[in-house]
Amino acid sequence: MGDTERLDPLLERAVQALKAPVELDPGLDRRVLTLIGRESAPRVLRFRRRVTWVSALAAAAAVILLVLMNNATAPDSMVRFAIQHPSAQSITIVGDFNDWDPALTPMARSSDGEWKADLELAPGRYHYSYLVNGSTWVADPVRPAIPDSDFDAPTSLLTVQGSSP
Amino acid sequence: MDDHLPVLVRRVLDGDVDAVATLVARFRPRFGRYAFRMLGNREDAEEALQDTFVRMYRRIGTCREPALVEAWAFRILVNRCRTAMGKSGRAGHLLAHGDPERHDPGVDHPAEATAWREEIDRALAALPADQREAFLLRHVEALSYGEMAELTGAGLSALKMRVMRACESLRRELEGARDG
Repeated sequence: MGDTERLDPLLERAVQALKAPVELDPGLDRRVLTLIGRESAPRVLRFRRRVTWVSALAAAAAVILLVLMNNATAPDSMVRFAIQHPSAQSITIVGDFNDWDPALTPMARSSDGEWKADLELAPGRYHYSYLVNGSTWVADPVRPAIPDSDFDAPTSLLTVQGSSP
Repeated sequence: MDDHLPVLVRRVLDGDVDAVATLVARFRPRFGRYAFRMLGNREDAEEALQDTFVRMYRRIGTCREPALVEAWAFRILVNRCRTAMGKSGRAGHLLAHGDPERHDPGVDHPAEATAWREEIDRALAALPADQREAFLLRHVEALSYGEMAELTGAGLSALKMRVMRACESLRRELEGARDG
């Protein structure tokens, strides 16, 4: 698994149970092979080699671009997140920058009911949301909302520009 | 990456039925588990699995990286499960024909283990399909978010949010079951 992600013991136990083998019909393999026996033999696509070369060239170009981009990487910027919510007991920020982990970025409440957190972020575009009292999702009222049907919770878009040299 | 897979793929393309049988036997445990967890019942899981293997055979000549044929075939399965969910219009239903899981003696009392598994099945089936898919791919199949994005076509942010919301819902359901 490429990315790190912690599970609490309850969910970890559930995951271990879900990883247990499942017994399906032992005749399934035979049925599959019978069906396959009725099929004509599979064919190799003739353009395979040409496509492979095109892919290799595209990959090489992408690597070069990546190296150039890395060399021009801009420094991180400090970004302030703030939301007015006097009645909240807790607010955390969840987003692309913390793998949507609600434990990683708690906000601090000031006496006037404003919650704040400062994060150092690399230039880029981030989707994020505020999680109020551990259960209510709230978009950031001062940043654009995401018009994306993939999301079923209020989500905001943050764009961090590269600093000028 | 498995060094033997390119050889097996080559043999399938040469018409070797034994090689097909080897691939099916090798992939079935993992694929069957995913289909069953995703669809929630044995009949639909077996149908999705059967369809996946036949399609794998038909299209195996288009698999450009034979060493990664398992990941390539798994994508077919994920799509077949999505289609099955769309056809039936449900978010999975519970084990109507008996629990096909193997018992794990020595871990828990059998009755407790069964009750626990039923709670998990119930909580998993209650998730929206996209969250269940993301949770299974991430935590049961142990895919990276990059692999999940490639497999599902969804964006990284959407996938992370789905996984997080699935975790929240599962935790709430399982804690409720434990406390209740």
